[in-house]
Amino acid sequence: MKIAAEGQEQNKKVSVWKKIRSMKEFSVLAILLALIVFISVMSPAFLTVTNLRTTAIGFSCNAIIAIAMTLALVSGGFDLAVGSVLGLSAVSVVVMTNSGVSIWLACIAGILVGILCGAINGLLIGYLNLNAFITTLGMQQMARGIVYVLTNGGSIGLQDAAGVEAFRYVGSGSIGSIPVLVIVCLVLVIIGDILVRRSGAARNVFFVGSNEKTAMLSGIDTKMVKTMVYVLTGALSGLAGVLTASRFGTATSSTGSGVEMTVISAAVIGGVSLSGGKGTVAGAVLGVVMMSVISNILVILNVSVHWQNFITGAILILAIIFDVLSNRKKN
Amino acid sequence: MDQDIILKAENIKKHFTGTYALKGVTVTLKKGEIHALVGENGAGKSTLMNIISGVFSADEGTISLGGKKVHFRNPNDAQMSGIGFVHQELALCQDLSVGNNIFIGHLPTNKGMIDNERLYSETRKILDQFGDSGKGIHPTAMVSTLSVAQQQMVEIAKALSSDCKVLIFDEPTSSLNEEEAKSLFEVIHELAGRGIGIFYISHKMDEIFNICNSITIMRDGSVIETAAVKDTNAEYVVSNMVGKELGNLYPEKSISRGKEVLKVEGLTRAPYFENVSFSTYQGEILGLCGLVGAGRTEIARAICGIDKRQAGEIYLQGQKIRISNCRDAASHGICYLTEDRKKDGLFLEMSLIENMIAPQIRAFEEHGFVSVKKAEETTKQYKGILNVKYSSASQNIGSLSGGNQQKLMLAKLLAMKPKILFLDEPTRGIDVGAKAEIHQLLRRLSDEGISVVVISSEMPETVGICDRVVVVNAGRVVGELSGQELTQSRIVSVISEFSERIVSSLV
Repeated sequence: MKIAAEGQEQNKKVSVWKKIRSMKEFSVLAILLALIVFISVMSPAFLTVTNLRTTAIGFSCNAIIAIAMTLALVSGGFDLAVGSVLGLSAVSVVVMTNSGVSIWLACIAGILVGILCGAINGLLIGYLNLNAFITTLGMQQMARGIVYVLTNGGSIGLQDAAGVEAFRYVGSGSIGSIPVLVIVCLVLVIIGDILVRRSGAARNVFFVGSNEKTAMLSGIDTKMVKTMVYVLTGALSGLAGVLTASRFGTATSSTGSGVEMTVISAAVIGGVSLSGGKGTVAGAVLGVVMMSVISNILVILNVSVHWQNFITGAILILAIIFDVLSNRKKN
Repeated sequence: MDQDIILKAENIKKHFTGTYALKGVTVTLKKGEIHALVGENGAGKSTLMNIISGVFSADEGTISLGGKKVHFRNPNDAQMSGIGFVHQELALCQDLSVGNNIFIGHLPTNKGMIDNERLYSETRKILDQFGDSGKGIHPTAMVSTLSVAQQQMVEIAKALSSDCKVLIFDEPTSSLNEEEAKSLFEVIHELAGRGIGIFYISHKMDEIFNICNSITIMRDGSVIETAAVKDTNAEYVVSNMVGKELGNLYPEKSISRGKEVLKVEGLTRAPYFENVSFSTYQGEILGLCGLVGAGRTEIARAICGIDKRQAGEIYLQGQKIRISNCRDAASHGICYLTEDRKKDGLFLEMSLIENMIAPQIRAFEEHGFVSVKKAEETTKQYKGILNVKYSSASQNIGSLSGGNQQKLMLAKLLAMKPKILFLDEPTRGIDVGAKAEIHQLLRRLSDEGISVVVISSEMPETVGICDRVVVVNAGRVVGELSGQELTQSRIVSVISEFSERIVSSLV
């Protein structure tokens, strides 16, 4: 009995290491570190406080949305509306504050706008069983449409009012040399990762994404689970919108456009399965970080901005090929 | 005595869109009993079990568990009350761990967070009950990394995770090899020994006579008989399962047959069938006969290139041919008519014409474009030959009756000018009139020189239209009957003789 226990202990050690190595996050992290080493050798411009700060601020809002997008993908769907909802929330904050509403009320309203958009998506997808692609694509257009109407196709600056300065501090201030925005993002990501890994509610999302029928037969309210997933993507997009308004002090007609593609690509690169049932917040966020480090590298190496889209796309396809091949080997 | 009864389903009735699936069925299950449920497809076994496990609700009748009347709104209700169901098609979440799958729907949590320690130690405890077959399964392993047999253990463990009183197995050995099946039987015996009542659905007589205590035979939504296994035998059971409905009018049989057309030798696809050899002849209708699950469909699918085979040669008119996919088979004129018209046979949302041209779009092309005229002509031609009733060739095929759909599915294959036709359940789900028409048609095709092979679960049909049958049981050819010998009772005795041989070799 004792020998068996010892054997098991040893087994455990080996299997923990094996497990870490087999985790998707590990390979993304390894590639990320390799990239950082590579660019640090190539140019002294990367490892500077200013550059690191700019890069981190740049990906913070995407990382926050990636938390929710992970769950949306795990549930077997995705949300194409996140970018537009982010924009709509940012514009709402600016417009409301400029028309005399308290800045903090405006912030809450921004998040509520996100929740509303998400709830509409969720109810349509969960209860009417509509296709997630079409539903969230429609919501993307609608939200962006309202953004155009409110901004008249241009941009609106946040006018000075009580509390605006404090509000701007969240998005553009720092504690020491670390930006507040990055701290907010980090805290949310850590909480999100733990909740997605361990909470019973999130585990139900995994069941639904892995085998919806079995989940339903096991007494899980699959419709509700799916709805709540989109409420969450909406809420976090709304929050990201508020933070974006705080960071720039303006909202434009194109605020947040393209975010959905960046986040979904990053999540897939980070090991979240497009067919549902698999993925972690840590992986998705590492994907976000990697994408933004890569574009930072391209800037430092003086590669034309126009090539960035091409390279992001190529990385995405490579990630999926890698995923398919490694799955094939397992089977 | 009544103390021992754990579950009683009384006078259960259920109908689906006009037809009665269950016509007032009563079954009782005792503690520790392994109770076999047998019957051909459509007899109502699965419907009955689905009602007991809360998947469907009964129109009439009561279920009592441990003496108390129960009413389940959904399968989760039933499971929480102690009724577990191990489905034939495993329903697990492949991307999640064993522990998560076992406790799906009632994960141990602490303030909303999953208590992993408890989850995995409870899982270990449940798996340890299975002896060696459970020890090899790690609670944290992904289900996708497990073998089918192990996944089945996980399904059983899922049922045991809540205080299990009744456990239903639906053909649990259909995808297991012999050794895996043996250790499953050990587990089943062990569970029964603990007082759990077990319903065991199977088509395999040898298994039933080997492990079950009692047996309930069902046919056409009714219970024919419940008996102790030791008081009955395989022949009796099989003949009661298939029934004795005779008196249908079948076309006259052929007197002579022509040259050999197709010959298969040593065809093997484990675990479905092994070393299968037979030949087909011009002008003869051959039947592939056996109980459901005997391997009939699998044999036909392998010859037609739909499934890969592990061994075996195929000869066409004496020449060895290579078939590695359906395209190869079709190019040699070998066609397969599927048993599942809706799922595999037709594009229900598309027009008659589109369905007709689907298997050979090239044949309907003119200068690179699909010629609608040509397709319409062909469709019209077969409308006449097969007596299909439709108003327009551009209407959706799904809007036609089952019989007409079936005829068009056949027409689609005939348009390919086949030499050999494998027809799997050619008259399933169609009315009597259309049935007779299809029987006449098959005889005509055979007279015209097409070699026809029929697979049918209706034994009277097999006996009625085939000139010769090859009897298959448990994946092996166990006999061949023709002429005067080709009767229902002879087929039944060939099947049951073989089963009894297995039973006696196991004991």
